[in-house]
Amino acid sequence: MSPEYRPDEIARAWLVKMHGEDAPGLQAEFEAWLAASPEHRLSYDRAAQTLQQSAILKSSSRYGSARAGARSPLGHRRWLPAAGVAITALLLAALGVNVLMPASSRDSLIAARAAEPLITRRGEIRTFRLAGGATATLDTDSRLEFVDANNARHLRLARGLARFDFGDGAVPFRVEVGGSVISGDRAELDIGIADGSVIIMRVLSGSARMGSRAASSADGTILPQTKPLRVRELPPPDWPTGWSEHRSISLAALAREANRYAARPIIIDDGATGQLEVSGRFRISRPASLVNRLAKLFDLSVEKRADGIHLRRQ
Amino acid sequence: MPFKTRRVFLMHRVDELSYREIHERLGITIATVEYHMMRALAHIANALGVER
Repeated sequence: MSPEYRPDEIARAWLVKMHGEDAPGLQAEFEAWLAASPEHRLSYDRAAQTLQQSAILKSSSRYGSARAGARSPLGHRRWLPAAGVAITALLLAALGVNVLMPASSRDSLIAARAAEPLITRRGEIRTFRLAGGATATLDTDSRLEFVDANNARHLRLARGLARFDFGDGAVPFRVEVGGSVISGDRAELDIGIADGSVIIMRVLSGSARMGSRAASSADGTILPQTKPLRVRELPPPDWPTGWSEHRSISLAALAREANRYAARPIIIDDGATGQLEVSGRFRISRPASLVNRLAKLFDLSVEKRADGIHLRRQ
Repeated sequence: MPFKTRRVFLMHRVDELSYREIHERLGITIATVEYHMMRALAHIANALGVER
């Protein structure tokens, strides 16, 4: 594929090719292209996310599988992401149609192909419904891959943080994270990864084991409930809501929590301001709004610069 | 989005037909199916504002 094309165009071409029957023969060349530049990976993720979001069209009365001449969809090889009405509107607009949107986005759960990773952008928290009733909620800037296209419970967390709910216990689950594997039958748990290793591991209910990828899942250490394992910086238990509740937290610590979602980080310019304590429930997934509220509360000045949003005493 | 591009895209994404099945049904080459898929993705990326 020629270098005169932009990375996004090449990424789309790869995405299309890797959905075709020539994919196995192109795998090595594709992986070499992906590894050649971080920009390639970003472009490919963007294209994959676009394709993944297009699955919402299945719920469209005009373009879904109920439309005239459409074949019934296959009943396997699928999971169900919870998609937004806004995305549907944009996709339908891209197809060249004006439609009235359905009243309930919860009714528009649809299937996508297991070849596509589940990805969230920075600042986004999104829940995907997996086959068999399980769910995966991805925190900001996360990537979840399907190791086995025929088994939506054999997953690999490549980036970020995810809350899995395998509460139905229908089929054993297996989540690869760096060199580790977390497995079990029935559990709700948080798993996070950074620099190729598990940094957050919290079992909220049920049970899970953690072992090395080389060993069988039955050989792993049984993980205790509630007591987190291998924690670098534990997010609040209710992180999937985008809110964080504290009896007392310093502005510096709160800014660190919010910066996980920020396109432009919150920067506290002086130590005294960073040590100010606040209590309450904060919407850390909306950093810009949080900054304005904190500035009003403590009478701080807010300055937006190229490197971030600066907070300081007036 | 052009009609032919839209039709190919929906057959693949909504009806879950493979490129070969679309080629057989529409009588176009697999390369043309891929061309329409790339074109559809470009349209959607542009509409979603994710194009760079």
